Amino acid sequence: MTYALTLLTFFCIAIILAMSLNLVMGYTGRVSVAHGGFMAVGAYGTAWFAINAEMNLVWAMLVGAAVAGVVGWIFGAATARISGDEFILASFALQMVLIEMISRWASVTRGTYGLSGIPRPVLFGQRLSDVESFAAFVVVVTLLCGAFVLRLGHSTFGLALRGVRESERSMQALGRNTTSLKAVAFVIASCLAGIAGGLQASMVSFIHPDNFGVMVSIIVIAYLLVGGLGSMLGAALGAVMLLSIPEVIAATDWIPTNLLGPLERVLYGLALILFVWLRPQGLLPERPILNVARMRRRGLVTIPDPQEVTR
Amino acid sequence: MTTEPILSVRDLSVRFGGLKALDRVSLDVPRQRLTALIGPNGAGKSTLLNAVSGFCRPAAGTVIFRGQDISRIPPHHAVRVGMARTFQDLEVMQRLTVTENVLLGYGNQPAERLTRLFFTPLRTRRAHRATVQKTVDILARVGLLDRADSLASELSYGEQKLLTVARLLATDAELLMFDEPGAGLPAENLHQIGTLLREMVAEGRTVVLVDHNMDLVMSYADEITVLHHGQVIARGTPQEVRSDPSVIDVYFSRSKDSTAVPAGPEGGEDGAA
Amino acid sequence: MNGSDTTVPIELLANGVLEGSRIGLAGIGFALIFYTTKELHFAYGALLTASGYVWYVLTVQANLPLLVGAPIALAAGAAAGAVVQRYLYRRLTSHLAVLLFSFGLAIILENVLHIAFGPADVVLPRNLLTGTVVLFDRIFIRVIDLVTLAVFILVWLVMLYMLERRRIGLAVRAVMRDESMSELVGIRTDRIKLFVYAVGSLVGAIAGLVTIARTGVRPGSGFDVMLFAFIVALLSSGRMAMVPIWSLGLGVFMSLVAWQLPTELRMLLAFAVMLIYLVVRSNDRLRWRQLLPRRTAPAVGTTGEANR
Repeated sequence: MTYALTLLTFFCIAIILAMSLNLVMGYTGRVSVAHGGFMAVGAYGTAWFAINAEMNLVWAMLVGAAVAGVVGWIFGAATARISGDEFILASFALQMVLIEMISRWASVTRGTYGLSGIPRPVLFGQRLSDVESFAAFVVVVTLLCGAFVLRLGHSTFGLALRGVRESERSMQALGRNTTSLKAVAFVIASCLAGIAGGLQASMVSFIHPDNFGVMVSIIVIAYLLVGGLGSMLGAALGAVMLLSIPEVIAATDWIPTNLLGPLERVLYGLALILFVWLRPQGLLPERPILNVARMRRRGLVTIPDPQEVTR
Repeated sequence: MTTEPILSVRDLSVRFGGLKALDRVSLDVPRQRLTALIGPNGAGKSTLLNAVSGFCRPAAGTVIFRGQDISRIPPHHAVRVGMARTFQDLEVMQRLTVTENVLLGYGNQPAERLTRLFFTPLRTRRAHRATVQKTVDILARVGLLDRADSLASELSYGEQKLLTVARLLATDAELLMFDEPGAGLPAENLHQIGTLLREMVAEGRTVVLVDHNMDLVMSYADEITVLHHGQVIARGTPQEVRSDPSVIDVYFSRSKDSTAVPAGPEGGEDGAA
Repeated sequence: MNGSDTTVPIELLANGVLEGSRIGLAGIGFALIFYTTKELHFAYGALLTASGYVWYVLTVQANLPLLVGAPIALAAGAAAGAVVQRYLYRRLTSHLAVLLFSFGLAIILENVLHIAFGPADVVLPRNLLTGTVVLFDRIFIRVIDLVTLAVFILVWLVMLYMLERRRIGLAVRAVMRDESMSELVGIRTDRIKLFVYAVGSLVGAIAGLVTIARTGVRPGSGFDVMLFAFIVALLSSGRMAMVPIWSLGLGVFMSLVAWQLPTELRMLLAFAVMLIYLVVRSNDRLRWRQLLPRRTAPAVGTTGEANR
């Protein structure tokens, strides 16, 4: 039971990461390999405020997410004019800068020694030290984040992001500040990645820069590719599917533990190339935000009379 | 109603590296008329559109729109001040549905603002439905309603062009500028577009049409300006332009092909339909 | 002449040049591929590392002499690059797909190497290359470093020669400048792409062999090398002739900077520079006001009503 609940929390964290990156990659169409870095900012921000400022983890997480959001804002805005290919490189550079900074700023982050002692949240006077209550907390946070991101994606705001992906020039000609749109998408995605980082920090109570390396960023991209770029539910599905693989392997006993890591990564790599090769659109397709036929059936729109149309 | 031109361009010059794409071009676009801009490839027609709508920065000169100097506005401000344009390479959102494409023509939707999306969900939803209804009305008007839920990529080329016109209508801008809407279209589609453009003028809007297709231009324009090598070389009604020696020179002394001016129907006074 | 004051800069310079030559080898191969195909062949680093491992296996496990194993390992590296392009990348439909696919490939390769050889460095046995040589009575240089420098210069010259004087080189440059035009003019762009992948991977394999000869390889070595290759390819902005120059420049810069800063900050600095460079280059005029979301004022339509 403990094992299942622990697994559940890791699934939830992965789902938040996947859905948030989808806003940037699936909707806005920009490939970012910096998601691990934002998760790290959230994790370390949460840790610092929870430990040093002795904040309740719930607030510390929000602050950590806010810090990640600020970094996301600066980066998203500064790189708004960069073309897709170079944006990948820029996000890569950001990822490395963030992790390197965390690793070297040992006075604050304890660098490569890792940071331990991150507390669990205190809710309604109770500290959520046991697996059950913390798992419930994580699930609630995930549901909130998921609902938020789903609503966002399924609205005209999400449509505007897709519009930027399809034709930025047109969106500008239609009056949208595309720089601002891209930056906002990036901020939201970074904040959510920060929340995922905070949850992870509290879950394991110990964090290390290696937990948030570029490999993590690539794994999240793999979640999206498998589940379906552009579909929020697909993102969640991809996360659950890919995360199940290492669990399945670990459950069978015949792999020596020191090879579990590399083997897991080989499988992620395989999933990546298989999906890119065979089913680049992923498992779930991208859905339009509205369907006129359905709206008609529900009486939400009416078809004008041909005679009335010529105004 | 004022008789001032809606758009005035004065001594506009645009440079690309060493090349003078526009050389001190001056132009007035009269209100509630269909003004066409023609000229051989490289004459500067698209550049003029770009400079006017904020997509490229003029090296010199001014652009006055409805009395306001808009020479240096960023591209996304054009719609704000009341001017909208299409692009030569379609720029239709291929992976969005037809309805979604036109829906994006409506700027300032509450459903795009995060605060309103989450804090006033009911009002936002109502506003969204009203906007969808307006979109459906436009689709019905241009004849794309039966394709409302199809992805734009599934449309024929002619239908996609129609889609860009519909999207522009949605902006409700007073000045609508079309960059080669007729390119690559067969005759019936051309006249469908031409008719729509004249309807817009009849409604009180002003239309600027940049195109190569002489059929379209001669049949539907009220006034034509001819550009060549970044300069205005002629201006007038279709009749006047057709018989202008400098225009004939530019178009006929070189080529044998489709830029030939046909002896078609008379130039577009408001009766053309 | 002040003894200690002048030696330090000279040593730093020498170190910088040597470092630059190492970066340059990887950079030339990567840039050739990137500029011609516009594809980010992320697996380049992993293939480079694999070539080093191949040499190791041939030398240590199959007991071949170093000089026999080397050409085989190089051929293997070049062939691998060509095969990947011809049978894998070519079937993919977009640059993004190639990028993601090559990520996956790199991850698989790196971890397969980990499983096969373990995470620790794998080195060649002591040989001629590992010895040291003394110059000017003061500077100690390892033989391998001199060899690397020589090979780097050789590759540089050969690349220049090929691009400037041979027909295939001109075809490559044409494709670099404009692929569709080149197609129209009759250049077989798919053959050219295969060619640059083969040649680029060959040069990468050279870099891999140099790496294992110098410090040994780990499964993750290719990753570090890729980073600098990226940076150099970016800095050279599409001009192959600049790649070796920027490589030397970067090497010297890092060496000089390392004098002032602890070595652990070098990576941070390199990436920060890369990031800033990319940002600055894309913003011809930074428009700060565009960063804030603005309420769009209602556009007034012809009917005179506010457009809400």
